[in-house]
Amino acid sequence: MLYLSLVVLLPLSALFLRATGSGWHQVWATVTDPRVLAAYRLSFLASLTGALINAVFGLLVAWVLVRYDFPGKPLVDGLVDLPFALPTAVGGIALTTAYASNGWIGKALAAVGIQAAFTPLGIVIALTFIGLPFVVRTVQPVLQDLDAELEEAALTLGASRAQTFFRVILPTLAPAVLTGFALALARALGEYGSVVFISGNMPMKTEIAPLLIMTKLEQFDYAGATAIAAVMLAASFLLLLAINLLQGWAAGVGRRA
Amino acid sequence: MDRNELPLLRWLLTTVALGFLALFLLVPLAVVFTQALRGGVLTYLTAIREPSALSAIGLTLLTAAVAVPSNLAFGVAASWAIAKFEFPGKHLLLTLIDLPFAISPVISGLMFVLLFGSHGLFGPWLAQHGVQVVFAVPGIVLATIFVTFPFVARELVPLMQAQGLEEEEAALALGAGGWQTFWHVTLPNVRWGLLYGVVLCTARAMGEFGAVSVVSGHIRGLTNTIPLHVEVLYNEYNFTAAFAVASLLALLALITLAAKKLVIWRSGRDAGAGAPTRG
Amino acid sequence: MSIEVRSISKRFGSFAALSDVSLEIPSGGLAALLGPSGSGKTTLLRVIAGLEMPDSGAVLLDGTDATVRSVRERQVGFVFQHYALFRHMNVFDNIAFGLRVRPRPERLPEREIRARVKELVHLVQLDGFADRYPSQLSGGQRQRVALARALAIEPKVLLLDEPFGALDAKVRQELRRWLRRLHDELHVTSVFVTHDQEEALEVADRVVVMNEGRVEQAGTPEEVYERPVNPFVYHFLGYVNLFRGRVKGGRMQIGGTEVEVQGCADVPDGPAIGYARPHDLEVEHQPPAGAALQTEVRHVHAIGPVVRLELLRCDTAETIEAEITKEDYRTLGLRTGETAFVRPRCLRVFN
Repeated sequence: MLYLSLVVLLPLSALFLRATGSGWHQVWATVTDPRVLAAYRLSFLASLTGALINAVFGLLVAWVLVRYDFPGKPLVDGLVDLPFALPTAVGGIALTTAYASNGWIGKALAAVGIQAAFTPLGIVIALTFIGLPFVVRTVQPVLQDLDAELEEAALTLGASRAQTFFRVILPTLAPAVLTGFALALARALGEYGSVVFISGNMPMKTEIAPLLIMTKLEQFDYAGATAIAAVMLAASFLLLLAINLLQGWAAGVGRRA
Repeated sequence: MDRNELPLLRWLLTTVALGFLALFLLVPLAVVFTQALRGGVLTYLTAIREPSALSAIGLTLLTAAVAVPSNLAFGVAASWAIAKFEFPGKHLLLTLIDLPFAISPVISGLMFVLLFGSHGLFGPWLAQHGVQVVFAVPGIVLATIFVTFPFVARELVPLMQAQGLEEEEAALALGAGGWQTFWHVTLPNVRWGLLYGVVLCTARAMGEFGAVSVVSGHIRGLTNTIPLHVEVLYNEYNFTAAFAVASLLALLALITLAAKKLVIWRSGRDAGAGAPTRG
Repeated sequence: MSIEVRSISKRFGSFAALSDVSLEIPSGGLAALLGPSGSGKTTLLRVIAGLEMPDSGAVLLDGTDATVRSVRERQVGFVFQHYALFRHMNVFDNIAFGLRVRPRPERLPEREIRARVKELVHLVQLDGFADRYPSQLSGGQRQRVALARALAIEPKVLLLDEPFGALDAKVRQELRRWLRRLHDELHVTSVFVTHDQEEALEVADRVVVMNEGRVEQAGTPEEVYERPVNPFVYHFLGYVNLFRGRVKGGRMQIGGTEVEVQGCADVPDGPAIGYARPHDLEVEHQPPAGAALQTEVRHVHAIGPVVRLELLRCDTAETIEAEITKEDYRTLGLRTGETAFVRPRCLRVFN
């Protein structure tokens, strides 16, 4: 218990003490500054996009891993956890190198006139990378346990394969997909290491909120950094709450009383 | 009647899924290793053996050596308490354990600066006693402990909960003491989850970037961990060296992935003791 | 719609689930596929439904070959063992599902669908439960929803896989009677799978006894019970008493008694095993005129309409089970430990 308080509670309280200590007016001024707002907006939109991409493709990957067979499947399955195991800085520089205009993928994109590195697109790519395992891993067990009889029942009742997927399978998977989505979103919102290299950190354009905090710290603007952090923290708590609720809902729907 | 999709659709879905994975997983991995070895094996080894790189490796190892055992001890104690007992504030404890996961690493680092920095809560007191926490090694270690705090506990709690109390009760009924029960009954049951939690904790302790970045002060040769050193090299456009050092961490990541497979396989073999399901 | 199955065989890997199975079920009939686990009855049901494809043989529905037709095309209603209700839909939507997924040209207007679903909810006696979700229903209620859902598409054939297996004894009995009544009302050709011989004999008008992927016997409940064609069927449908002895000229000698052998008069002379049901045994307290087997009463089970006696043969130390009416029991006044004299009224011998 003592350990817990030392390691967790103390730092947390420090943050809030500091934030409120600065006076609300100053906090509000900081938080509503255009640059800060732009950073929030960018962080939120990019994280949302990345999480959405992961929701769709994560579901697809989980489906393919559970239902289909192909050579090297166990290897691929293990590799899905890479973004979770790889240090963020390593992922960050690797992605930047790959998507820079002279990188493997960056070159191909440049040929079509798309620039990835140092643009919001690059940020979305990095955030998709780090959120990848979340949807896949929450959907996989649910898909595995999906009763074959449900699909057979739908078939005997005359449903086509597409109807079975959209009316029976997908609703059953929905809670898991949503949970994975929320987890990916939460992770993406706070992400620093993977993004800081590929974004280029241009204020108002490709500056994400965590970076802004870092910049303010380097300028010794503790009040400003804390204010921004406090807002992000509030958002994280809300998201964490939502995730816990979602997980509770998912368990309830899946229960066969 | 085959209830599955048409073979063409299957093939299409598989290709798209694998393509997506190749793009997002294989490419970064390949980049790390090809860039690292670009200058040849000799350049690779030189980059790793360079003094500031070595001190970064040393600092990283030291940090892990402190963070992992303490989080291990706590994790085991906490999950044991949570799984086997009822007490007020249990849910609060669970939420608190999950906390470092939900907070951006930069904010985590910020909290430590606010606590122990020269303008922080304990700043004056620390200055008085000549202790430097932030922008020095202790700060890095503390921040790492905070960030890797949940890993062991999160692996163990569901495992221990799934196992229930029966075996422990049986041991106690047979006359074993509390500590004996813990050591001989509880721990062996969760050994694979424990191992995996330790592996994850270690990997994360060595790879943590955001939180450590805030706290470290980036003093080359002194307060740079491997990830920070990678950043330094990269920002100096010394790409080959940066990737060379980074490849060490990439290898560690691959070992982590292999460890997970091993753990799932072994715990599955040990007659359904509940394999870890977290990524 | 009549169902005919011709020489169906199906293997799963090296396991032969069905070996050359042929069967006919007339239109409007209610048939039971009865057998132990692994006998192939569920596989056969699924082959009829189209959920499994046979390795060889044909399935004919109403005389036309349906073997290659997909499940959707066969218009069979299937009730699964564990109901397979869609958990994210309430009772109403579950039942309406089959009507709502029909291709546009064939689909009924929503208003009509609603009306039909209401009728079905009423038919299965679940009025007031239409808003509930499967997790809020009891096992018996879920079973009725599964049935209503299958009936909604007006199937030509209704197939039920161990429909009452997961329910309490009392609920099972009620639902059995209810299914019988429903069938009498709707006249849909129905086939159900069960391992409970009592259920099969009580509900079906045609019983198909299966074992190890083969049909042992198919006939009315009376036929399979009274005139089983082989020991397996005999054993499966009720308790069996075995008597070893010699057959001579249409009569069998057991111990010191001589009993007439039922059925085939062309049972060859020689050693044989005679089968008798518990209620085919005559029990006396005093030695009767004529020969009888001497036994010791080991256990009396006197609860219920019939009294079951567990008797130990004095000559061979084999156990016999006899069933006599409560009246006879009171008249005889038998108690544990006393001697009783037993004579089978007739015996069945298999070649």
